[in-house]
Amino acid sequence: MDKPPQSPARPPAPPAPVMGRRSFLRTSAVLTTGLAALAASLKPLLEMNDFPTMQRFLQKYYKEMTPQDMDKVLKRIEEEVKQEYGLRPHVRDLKPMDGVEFVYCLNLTRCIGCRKCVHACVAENNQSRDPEIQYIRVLRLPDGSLDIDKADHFYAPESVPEKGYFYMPVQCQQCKNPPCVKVCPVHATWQEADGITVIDYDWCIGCRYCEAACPYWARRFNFTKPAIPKERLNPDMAYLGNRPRRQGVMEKCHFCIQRARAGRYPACLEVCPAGARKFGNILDPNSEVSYILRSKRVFIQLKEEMGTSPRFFYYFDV
Amino acid sequence: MTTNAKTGITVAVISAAFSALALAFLTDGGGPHLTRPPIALVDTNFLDKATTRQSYADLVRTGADLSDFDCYVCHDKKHPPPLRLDTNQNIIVATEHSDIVMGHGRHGRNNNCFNCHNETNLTLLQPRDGRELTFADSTQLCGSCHGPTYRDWLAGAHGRISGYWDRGSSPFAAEEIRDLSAVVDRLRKQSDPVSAFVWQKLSIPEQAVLTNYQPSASTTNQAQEVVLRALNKIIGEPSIYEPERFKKIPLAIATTSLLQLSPTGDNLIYLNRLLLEDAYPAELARSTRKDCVNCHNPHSPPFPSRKPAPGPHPLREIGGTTGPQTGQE
Repeated sequence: MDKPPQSPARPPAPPAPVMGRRSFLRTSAVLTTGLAALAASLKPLLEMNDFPTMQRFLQKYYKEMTPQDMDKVLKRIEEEVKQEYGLRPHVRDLKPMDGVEFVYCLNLTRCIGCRKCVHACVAENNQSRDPEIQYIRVLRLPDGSLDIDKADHFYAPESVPEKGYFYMPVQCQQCKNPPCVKVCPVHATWQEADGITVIDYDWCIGCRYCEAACPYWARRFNFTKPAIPKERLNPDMAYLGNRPRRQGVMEKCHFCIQRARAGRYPACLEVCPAGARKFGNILDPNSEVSYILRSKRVFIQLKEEMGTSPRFFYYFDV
Repeated sequence: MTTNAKTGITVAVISAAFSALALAFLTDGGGPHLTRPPIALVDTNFLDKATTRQSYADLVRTGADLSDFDCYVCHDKKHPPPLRLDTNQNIIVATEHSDIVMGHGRHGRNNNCFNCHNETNLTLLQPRDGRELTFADSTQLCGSCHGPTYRDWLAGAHGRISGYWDRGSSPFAAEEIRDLSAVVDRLRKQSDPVSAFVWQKLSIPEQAVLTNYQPSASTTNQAQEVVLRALNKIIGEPSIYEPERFKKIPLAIATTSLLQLSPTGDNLIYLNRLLLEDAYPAELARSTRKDCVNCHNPHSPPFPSRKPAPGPHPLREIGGTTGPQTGQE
């Protein structure tokens, strides 16, 4: 069998240049674009002025802190608040009390929808005023229905209550089975022994998973640096409660932890002109909330079907 | 055009576009930013915790002018006021009482003044069971007809309440001393049996602090600490109630009803606190539930409607209600 004739050997190619003119231009263009895009994306850093101090950066996880560590942290917070707002606050880290589980009851027959609770909460808990962060939303529902799809929280009549409607304030329900706690990737939010779900604002990374997980839209995100007028700052603060937050962290209702754990009623309860709000220790059979759960007829746990088992009960009355 | 050249042009165009965008971002190109109108601070009326009305008991406690409640300035003690009826047998309200709206209750049948007021002594109230109550005890009168509501009120489940859910931890806080100089003054002078009792509980250095106390001086903090320590020590002790000590002090209904139970433990602490609040009504903040008439007007039944506070954020931006709103309390 004849072999096919072999092609004559090619002359050796000249050595390729390290970088040709064309590829140099292309690479530089890509590099320039990349660098420019990087610079543009880092632009917000130019506006950043809230750099964490070394002490805050190295701070331990709340549950791992010794009392001495906590003392240092509280002093640091007091110092920071004094520097920013010009008055020395009283920051405490109140622990849950033994034999106490907080429950909130709200009488839907009594609520007149005046929204005083909303603003008492803002004032007590040092929420941002501009943009305004409100923990409580008051829903207006047509009589005879509990369909949340028909609810309106932008109502603005001349006076309340309006005929044909009832009002349903919604805030953090302090669930027994809280979905927000499950989704937090850094364990910055957890449920305490007295039933309050708290957030460590120094540990939160601002991913907003908890906001998405909450079926009650109870969690709020600080998109900007909170603006609190100095004259309206509440100096009675708690570490897990109403100390001023930073930009980029979550916050929510904590039953006024700085008041509740000192034995006092939450601010929203004290301001309610209709006496629709009741709060107390469900483990104490003589408390108001025990009396209500025992003797009132209708209770609604909002979105019961979600299986969150809220510690916030709605009831009707005569 | 070769493929390489096409790629080169595409890359160059994309690079130029990105560079232009980057430049625009960095230099804030594209005109001025849209500015959001500032959100006005909420009117402080909406933060007010005061009750809609003041009860007679409140007026007595704060030493207010009670001349409006002296019926016999106008009426004659010997002759009960005659009731004038219209053709429908409804009472014609005298022009002097034009603020009274007849119509207590929705059924309109409770329309006789003397269902509640005592005909022979107008300064008293009379429930159906024949008791005679002063205006300060009006809640018990309301309770004589509105039984289930009164039962809820006694349990703390009806009406407004403030202060402490935890009766065991109800010490006085600094902000609850409303008028420090008045407290110190009453203690120094031992002007009443309760003040004399509290004064005796102070140590000699503590008494010296209060004796040397000058309002708006650097001694304020020290004096406040002394007063707080003394009051909080006293509420943790056995019942401070003695009929002689509290003879001249009008006690609130919450205090008398708790007193009758001879409480122990947490409720005893709470009772002592209530007794001190009754003894210093204008000087210390009250931490008890309110009376019926603090919210309801027995002569004008409908519960007052009011202007709602501003709603959530988007409404305050778009709805044109950014200006300060006046509360109606």
